[in-house]
Amino acid sequence: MDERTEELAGLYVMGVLTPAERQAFEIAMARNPGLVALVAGFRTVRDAMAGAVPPVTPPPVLKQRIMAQLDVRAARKKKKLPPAVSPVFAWPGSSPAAESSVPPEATPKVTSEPMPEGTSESQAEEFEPAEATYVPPEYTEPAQVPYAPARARSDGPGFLSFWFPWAVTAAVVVWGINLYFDREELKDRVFPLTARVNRLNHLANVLCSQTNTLQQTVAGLSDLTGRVDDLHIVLLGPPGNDLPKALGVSLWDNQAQTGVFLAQNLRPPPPGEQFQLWMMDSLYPTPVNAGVFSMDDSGAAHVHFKPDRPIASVTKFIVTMEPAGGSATPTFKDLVLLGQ
Amino acid sequence: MNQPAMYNDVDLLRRIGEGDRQAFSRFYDQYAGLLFSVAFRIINEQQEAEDVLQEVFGQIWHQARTYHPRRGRPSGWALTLTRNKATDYLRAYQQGAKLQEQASAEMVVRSAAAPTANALVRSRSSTELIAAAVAELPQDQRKAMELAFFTGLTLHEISAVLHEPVGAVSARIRGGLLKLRTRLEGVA
Repeated sequence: MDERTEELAGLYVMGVLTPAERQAFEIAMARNPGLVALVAGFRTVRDAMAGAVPPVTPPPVLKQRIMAQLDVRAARKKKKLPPAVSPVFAWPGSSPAAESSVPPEATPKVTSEPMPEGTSESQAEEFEPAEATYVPPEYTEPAQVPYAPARARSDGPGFLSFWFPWAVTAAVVVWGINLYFDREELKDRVFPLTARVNRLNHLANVLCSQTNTLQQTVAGLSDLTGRVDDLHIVLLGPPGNDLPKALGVSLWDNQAQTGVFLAQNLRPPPPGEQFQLWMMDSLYPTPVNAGVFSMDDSGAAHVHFKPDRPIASVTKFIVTMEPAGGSATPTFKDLVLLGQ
Repeated sequence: MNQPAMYNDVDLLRRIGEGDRQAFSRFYDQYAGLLFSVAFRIINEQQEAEDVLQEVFGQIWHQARTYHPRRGRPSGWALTLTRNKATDYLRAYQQGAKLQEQASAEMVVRSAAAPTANALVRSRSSTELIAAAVAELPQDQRKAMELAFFTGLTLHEISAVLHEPVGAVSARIRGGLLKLRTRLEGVA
């Protein structure tokens, strides 16, 4: 066998020939048993190569889906129109007796035969069940009927008026049946497409939902970023050296107009006195009261505070020792902590 | 594959053609792994490979009665259906040459050590032998064969992708098939 033929056999098996080339090759193959054997050998090699792809297991649910699809198709098949013609649409004189009176030689014969050798794979895949081969009835000379114009016939003009409505009815029925089967076929084609569209819709919904979540997250982060701009963290320390280890931190949320104050290593206030937190804002001539607080046994304090007056821009935090219950304005007799 | 197994598969297809659901189920169990692997290899998308497999088994159910042993083994027939359906999918849904070229660029020779378990290849050792034989092919031959079978490109498109004349591509495919046939004698 020459190289060119072997090349064509390889291209044929790998499915890369054009339809015309494929057809020509199949004709050649039908005449050459050696070529058939070569193609069979190449097919085995191709299948082995395909069998060596990395294995991927289909999900178990897929089998259920495919089996269910068979059920749906079987159910549809059962619903199809019965082959018998309803009496309403029966042709005049078409009784069972009339049907049985049709001579057997007028009926086409069918015989079962395997696929022809030269049938291409692609053709075969799209090939409808071909178990029946049409064998036409033997031709017989028609009986000689003398020509006569329609108007001169014995049935005359009544012939058309009688047959025409039946012919139209039959055409409509045939058309309707064709439409019905076309619709069923379309349903079969549409079924997987619909499933795919549904999945894509589902995916789109999931993506849409995720997008919304992300948008919310971004909005939240933007909000937080804005909030961070409004947050002020101020470290407070003792103004003198009499209590070097005392330390305070104030976290102020200007937008919420609230804050948290933490302090450590405070010295217990004298009897009848209390710590008081102040905030300084250029809007006001005197410090704004942010509340009194106490320390625990370890000298620590942790308070949430809210000033008496709205703060535009805090410039300093001050902690002073004031008479129990607090003062309207700081006495500055004992300045404990200061931060800006 | 040995002869009795082939006859069993043929018998399965005959029964499927007669509407035997049990035979269909058995055929599915036997070949779904292989066919799905091939579809996935071609499309590289799980969901779409599932769709292709579903359509292929629909075709098998409807066309089993048209199968004739002259057209090769049942597994080969089913493989051809799968390959054609998957490549049709590629053409239709992956926007033509650009993605195909991308897919071909991503062609990777699979490791010879990668184990496969499918009905076509009956034992692990034969699978490994086949994979090894494929991996040992010269790269130009292997690539031409893989492009031909797994991408659905035409001969001229393969020639364009490989920047080689059509004649050279044909010769490589032929050479690869002949080499594999020699190496796989008694294995596949």
